[in-house]
Amino acid sequence: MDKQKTLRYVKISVTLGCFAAGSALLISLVNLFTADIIYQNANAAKLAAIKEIYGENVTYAKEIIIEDADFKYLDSYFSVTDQNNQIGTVFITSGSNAYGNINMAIGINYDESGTLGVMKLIENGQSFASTLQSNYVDKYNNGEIGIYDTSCGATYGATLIKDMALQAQEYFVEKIGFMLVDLNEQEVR
Amino acid sequence: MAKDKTNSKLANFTKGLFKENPLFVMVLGTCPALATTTSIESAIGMGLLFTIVLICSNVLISLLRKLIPEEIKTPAFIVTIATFVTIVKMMTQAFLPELYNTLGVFISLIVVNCIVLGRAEAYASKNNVLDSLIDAIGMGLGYTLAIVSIALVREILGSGMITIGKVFTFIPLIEIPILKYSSATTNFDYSIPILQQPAGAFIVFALILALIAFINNRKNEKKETMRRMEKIAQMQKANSNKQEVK
Repeated sequence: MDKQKTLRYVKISVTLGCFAAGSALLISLVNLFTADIIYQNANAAKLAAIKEIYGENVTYAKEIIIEDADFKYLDSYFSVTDQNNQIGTVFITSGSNAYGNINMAIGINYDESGTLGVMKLIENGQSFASTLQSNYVDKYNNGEIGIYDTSCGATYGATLIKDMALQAQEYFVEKIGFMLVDLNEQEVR
Repeated sequence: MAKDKTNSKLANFTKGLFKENPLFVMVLGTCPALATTTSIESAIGMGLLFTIVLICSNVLISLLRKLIPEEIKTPAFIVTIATFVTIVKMMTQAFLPELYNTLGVFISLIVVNCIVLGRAEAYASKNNVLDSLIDAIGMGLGYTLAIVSIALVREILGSGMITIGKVFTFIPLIEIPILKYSSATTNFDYSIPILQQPAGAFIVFALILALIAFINNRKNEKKETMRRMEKIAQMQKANSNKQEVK
């Protein structure tokens, strides 16, 4: 090969390599001092969303991690009690579709069928659905899951939310369960 | 000579604000302009982040313009822009989490914003660092002013009020009711909700472009009229000179 051509190719490769290395170095430097802050912000956002579901004057038990492949959207849950009476469970869910990811806190009320309580977005990475909270999530709150069952365009986010809420409800009924204690007869039904 | 230099630098800065405004004249970067203008705060945030990326990428590309081979110009520019967008995204996520949540995926989309790559190829790769910096500041400010003007119309007419402090949480939350107000004794709502939706964004953008076109047409008509009057005056002067000679 011509010496000039070879030098040209070497120059191009070295230049591209330097750009890649410089870019990686800069990004890793910035990551060094922002990673902790981002993690703390994410935790704070999660706690704030959880506390909006059943309020601040209740007790949230320790977080229990869910590692069940059948419930792919569920990450963990907190049991919620009010003066020693269990009132609900808050599930932390995460899922994604073609338009981005959604992280949510879903409240399932402590009753026989595990009715849907309040839901709060923790993180919304959907490119089409910046109004997901007001247009879809708030309409599901304390209502029937599946009433906004659409599968086109910008409402893909609504389908993902419905699926996450249904899974949370299913997990509550199958794995956690509702126990009604008759205080007079001390019987667990 | 020094005055000429200052004038040319000033012209370089102001062209991005009016004459070559990237949004209203060149009609570039319309996707984030329509998506992030539901409120004034998010528009200011978007403009600020965009300007930072534009300044950093213009300066670095101008610094390295003689070292980048012609064959790999575009990939080198894109890597540079993507690096700064990633840094800006991480900083926003760490220090302005509300702004990060509001803008969402549109921070990452600054990478493919035509204005940034366009200025890198058309200006920064051919001019010195100072001129590239001034161009970036002018273009960034021009884009910010443009999207804030769209946001102003959309927020006031669409939601009926101006809200400050919701995105920039270091400012105390203030809600200024303009077309919408609700209290125990008074209740009115003259807002136009469609302006908060994507269709409304297109409508507002089109109306502003129409207004700019109307103003430009009026200016051109006046110029044309002045030129015709001068021509007539010159012809009359020439005729009167001829008659004097006779």
